[in-house]
Amino acid sequence: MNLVSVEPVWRPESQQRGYRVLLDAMSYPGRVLDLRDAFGESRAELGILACLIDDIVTFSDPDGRLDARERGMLNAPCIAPDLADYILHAAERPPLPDYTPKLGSLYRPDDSATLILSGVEVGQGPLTLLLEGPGIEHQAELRLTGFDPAWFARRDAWVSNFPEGVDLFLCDRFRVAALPRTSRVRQTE
Amino acid sequence: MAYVAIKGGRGAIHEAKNQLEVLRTRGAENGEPPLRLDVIENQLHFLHSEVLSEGGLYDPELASLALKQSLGDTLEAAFFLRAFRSTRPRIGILPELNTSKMRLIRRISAAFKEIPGGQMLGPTPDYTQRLFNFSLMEETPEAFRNALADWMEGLETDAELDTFPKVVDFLRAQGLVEDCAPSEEPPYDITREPFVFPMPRSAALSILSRGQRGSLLALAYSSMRGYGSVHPTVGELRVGYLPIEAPHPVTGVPIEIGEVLMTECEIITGAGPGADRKTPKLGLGYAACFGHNEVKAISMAVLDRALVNGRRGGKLAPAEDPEFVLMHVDGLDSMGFCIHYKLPHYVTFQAGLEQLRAKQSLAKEAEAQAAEAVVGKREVKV
Amino acid sequence: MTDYDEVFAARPQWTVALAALPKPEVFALAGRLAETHTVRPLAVSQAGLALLPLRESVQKQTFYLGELPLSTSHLEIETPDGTTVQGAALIMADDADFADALALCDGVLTHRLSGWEDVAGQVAEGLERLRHQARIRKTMLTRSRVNFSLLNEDDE
Repeated sequence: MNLVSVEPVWRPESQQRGYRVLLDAMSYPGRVLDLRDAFGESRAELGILACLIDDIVTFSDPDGRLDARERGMLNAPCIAPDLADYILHAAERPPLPDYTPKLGSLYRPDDSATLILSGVEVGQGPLTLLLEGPGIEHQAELRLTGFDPAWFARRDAWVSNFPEGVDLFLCDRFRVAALPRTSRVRQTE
Repeated sequence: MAYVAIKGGRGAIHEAKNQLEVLRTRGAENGEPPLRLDVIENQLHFLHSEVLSEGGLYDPELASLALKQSLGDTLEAAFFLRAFRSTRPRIGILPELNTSKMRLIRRISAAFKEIPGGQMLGPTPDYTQRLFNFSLMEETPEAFRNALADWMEGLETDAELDTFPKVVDFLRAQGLVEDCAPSEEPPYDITREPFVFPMPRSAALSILSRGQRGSLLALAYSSMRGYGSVHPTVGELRVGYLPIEAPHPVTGVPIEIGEVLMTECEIITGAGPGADRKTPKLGLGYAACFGHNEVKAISMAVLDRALVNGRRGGKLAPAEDPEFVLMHVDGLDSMGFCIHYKLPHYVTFQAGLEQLRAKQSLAKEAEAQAAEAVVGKREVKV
Repeated sequence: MTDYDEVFAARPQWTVALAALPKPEVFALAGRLAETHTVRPLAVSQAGLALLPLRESVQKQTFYLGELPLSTSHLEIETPDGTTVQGAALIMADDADFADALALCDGVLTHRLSGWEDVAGQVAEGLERLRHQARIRKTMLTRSRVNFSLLNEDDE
């Protein structure tokens, strides 16, 4: 009996489907994947967080993209971005000058952050990224709209000391692509 | 170790599983009804409690199902519960409880006659002569109903349950046992952390709590018989239902969310090694486990004390050696290893045979050579 | 005739009282309440396991006695006239839907929303079942209490 109707993002079956999509995104950096199969009309940024977060990790929402109820439903502590495991950013805004998320360490590279940059469009737009590295045959191209280029310059610095670094999900309303720390990214305009 | 993958045995394996069902249902030919889960929980109360405790998961319905599906094999039944629990998410840790609010059905002490609150025997076979009641062979549903109905006449009208102070606290107040400040050490989670010795006592208590009854009894018995120094007196044994409380998610006020049938036992021993010679105090051992399991609880408490003695005074006996005790009392670990020997070990065994044959052949050669040498010598002599 | 005062005094027992009733009855009750009120989750209802820490009496250390099934629910309940209240439940059971039903009953009864008398009636019935169980346990103790003085007399 279903007394309480809950949006797809909070249902285990949806989260499993969504998780497979995110796994594919990380495995094939730059590939643009649609999350509507998993999450219906719910925002991709919320679906990604709902998929990945539980009560043993922390997250951060410095740009206030989630409402109070959504934050509550994630059931994880919401803390400062430089300390959190998962951080949701508005991609149109550049990163703050002093901002460094958790990069992990040589012995604990997993103790680093996963950033979710939420922009206008993934797969089309004026900003072109050329990607090389694991999961990419030769080279891949990723076009973006509404993503401040400063993010990718800053990312270069953050991932320069492998295995330390961060992993990125880039999303729009419904679609997602991923940039693991192993990808080499060049910007062209 | 190499295992052989059975290519041609799929049909046989499938059939083996079917035949287990045949074994289980063979009475159907004579109109035998399937076992009901509540029948297992009620009429096989102690068997059910054993499995609840060894499974480590307090789910009475699933414990009954485990016994039904395993055809009464307690090791397999505990396996079902442990396997099931590994598929469920851990969603929290309840606030710490103690047994002061236990709703008792049995409470005894062998150390003292008069204990505050009194001794209440509750349901126990302790005072029966273990003579068969042959009338149970032809028990009718009517007789079954009447046995209960008779007892249920004249129930207490007052439903207020008393709580009873602990004998141990009474001994402590008299200065007869060591006093200690409550420990702030976080308890060890044996379901997530590996066993690395030395292990904290909280880990030992958890391991013992879901330990296999026979294994615990054998080791405790060894200590009682002199392989070790624990000769216990039961200070207090309690059987009852512990109410589980947790804060209401909105108000934060504690609410009751269920109750757990459990057995708790404290044993009293002599001072033991490492004791203060000037003001000697009694030693104590503790046990608590899910279900109504008295033999297990006493055995656990003896082993708790034995391990403490072992830590303080050196391991003078197997029951005092933490690694010996804690690595060998888990039913799943021991049963699993035991039954794995039934799996094909063809390659390993073949390798062993080859080695043996080679050695035999070498030995024969050596013998032959030695014989030749003797003959050779004789020839020379001649 | 339900004693409402008794029901409200027994707030810590509401969950176990309802859980003492056959599940279909509780689900039917919650179903009726859900026809009147709108229910939204404030947390994802969960079913899983919880560890039970017990502080032992001999060295006063805490250890994990084992695991229990646990389900949780935290709901927002909106009445037809637009009032919103919260209801929540924690229950020793592996059934998130059941926790939802209990949480809805909790919210309705706490805030005396439409249908609360129905919930109170069921809680009262559950409390009576718990009392019956308590009477049985008390009887077990009183009837098997050992009177040591009698033994002494017999010896003389």
